[in-house]
Amino acid sequence: MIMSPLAPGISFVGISRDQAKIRGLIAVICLLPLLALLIVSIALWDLLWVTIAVAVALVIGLFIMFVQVRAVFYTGYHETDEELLVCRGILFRKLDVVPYGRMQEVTVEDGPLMRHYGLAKITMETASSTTDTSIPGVRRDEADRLRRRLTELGSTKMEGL
Amino acid sequence: MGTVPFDEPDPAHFEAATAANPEQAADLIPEDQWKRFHWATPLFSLWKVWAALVAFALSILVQALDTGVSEILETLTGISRTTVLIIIAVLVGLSLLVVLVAWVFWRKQRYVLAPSGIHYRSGIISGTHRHVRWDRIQSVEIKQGIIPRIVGLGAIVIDSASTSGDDLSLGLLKMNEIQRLRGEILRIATAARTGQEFQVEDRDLPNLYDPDDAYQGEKPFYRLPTKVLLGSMLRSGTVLGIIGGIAIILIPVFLFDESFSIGIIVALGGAVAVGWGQFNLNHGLQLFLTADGIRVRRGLTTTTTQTIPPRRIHAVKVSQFLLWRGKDWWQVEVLVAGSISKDSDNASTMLMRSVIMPVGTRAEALDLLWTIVPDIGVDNLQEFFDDALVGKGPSAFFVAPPRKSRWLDPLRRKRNGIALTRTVAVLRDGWASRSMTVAFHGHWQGLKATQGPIQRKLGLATCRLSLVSGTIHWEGKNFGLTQVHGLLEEERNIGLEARARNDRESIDQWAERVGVS
Repeated sequence: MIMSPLAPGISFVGISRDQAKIRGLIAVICLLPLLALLIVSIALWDLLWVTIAVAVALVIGLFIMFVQVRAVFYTGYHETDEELLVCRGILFRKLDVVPYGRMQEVTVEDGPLMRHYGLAKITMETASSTTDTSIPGVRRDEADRLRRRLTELGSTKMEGL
Repeated sequence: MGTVPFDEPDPAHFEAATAANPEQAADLIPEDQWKRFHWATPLFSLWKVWAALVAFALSILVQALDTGVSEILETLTGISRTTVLIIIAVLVGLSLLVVLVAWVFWRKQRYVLAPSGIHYRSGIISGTHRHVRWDRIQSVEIKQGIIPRIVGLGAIVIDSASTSGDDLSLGLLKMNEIQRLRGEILRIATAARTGQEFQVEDRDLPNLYDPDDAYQGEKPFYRLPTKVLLGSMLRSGTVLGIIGGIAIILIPVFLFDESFSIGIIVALGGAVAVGWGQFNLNHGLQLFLTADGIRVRRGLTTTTTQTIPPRRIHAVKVSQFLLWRGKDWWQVEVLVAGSISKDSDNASTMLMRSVIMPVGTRAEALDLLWTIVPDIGVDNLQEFFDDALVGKGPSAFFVAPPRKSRWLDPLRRKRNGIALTRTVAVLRDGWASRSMTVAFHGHWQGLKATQGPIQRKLGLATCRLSLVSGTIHWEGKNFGLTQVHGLLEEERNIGLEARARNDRESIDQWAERVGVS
């Protein structure tokens, strides 16, 4: 259970912790070349500023990775009778409230890494460009259940625009 | 032509026959029901080629001006009669070719109003089939260029809720045909939306041509005087910016006696074009209340007539530029789903088009607001509007952000305010340009709350009503965290209730209220 300071009193269902592993893995893959460059620059080149620049980039990268991975433990969703609530983020916190009747499209997608862990990402589109909400890293069966439920509720509570 | 019976608006039927497979839906339409546009349609496509040629000639002329006038004269006298004849022959040949190609295209362009929606087919080599479902139609607009207007032709532009792709334009057609089509489309679209039964009637009407394209029983509501339009443009930020820009270019010319450069001419041309565009679009703007909604007619060379069903309006924004304060002028903008396409090439036109009252007095603006929002949900209207339009700080109606938000929003903080009444959510905003944004509870697509790192340190948050894509945004920035909690909670409850209740009046109720039924 996850709480969001933007919505007190609502306990959100957290997404899978495997999502943190996926994000960590992706970050490591992205940061490895940078690390290699750092080692090479320390060992071979005598240019101090190159080393410092690469080190700074690496630190920033690690910070982003840290925030991204930790954000997984702050991402969750909550279903009410009428709306879906999604909370995300640590540095920049977000809370989305989308009524079921306003959903135009619900998409479930996964990549090779996500499939390996049996996860998927649900994206919900409305007629507004600012409420395209997504929940990353939901278990595949749970994602399919959500998709069915959301489209079903969306059409029974059909309000259109 | 007869009528096409339509049994019932069965969603399964729609899905199977239309949405999933428009080709199949089109196959159900007998070939003889597809209609052509007016035969003059290809002739008007010629204008684009001529315009391109003129632009090309002008650009050469501008380049020539840079090199010197005497050289132009020399070149002109050097042109022999045969060269002139060859040029004319090329132009005529080109025109004929364009007409021919346009004619071939025209032969393939067909449209039909069918029970499944409006279908449009075009294309020679690769066929295009466009299908707009009845229940997705947002608004219908009539568009006339200056020459089509003289000969009584026009096009009908259909706005669908889709955010991708252009609007569907049917034309050119005769004006009486267009008026009939518009009536039909609006009628069927309303019926389809509310789930009533409808019949697509396709009959020929007696030929009554009316250059002013008036509705029966419509009520003139507002007319924008040219003087006021010019005055408002002179006092607007755009024109001031243009004048400032030109002054910056001109000052060195006079002070340091430098010669005119091509840059100045281009800048002047651009400035004139922007100003002219606004003037041309809004010249002679008139608002009418008709049985189908608010009809906006405007334009000098190209006249557009837009009919906005009030139920389709999601939000209204009343705003005032800094220099309009002395005159107490206000602008009214509406948000209609699908009226802004994501193609940005005509985004500025779209932006101008969402403004249905470019400038008017406070009383006129509030009158127009009243035709859209029958009940603002407060008892003391006078006090509420004074507060919403020019007020500051927390008041009986508005929740204002706490003092600590001045660190993030030093200028706007005092104007910022949110009022949730029982019918609408009102946002008071802006310090140099004041604005009041009124959004209907039952129409938002979602609620959003965000908090950045600095906001968190100060205990602030931002809340937002996500409205359909368009030019109007409803975002209360830097309110206290507990205020945001309360606002979200309240708006969720009111929104839930408003959606369940169907909080907007029907078009018949509207017509009766404004007195046009």
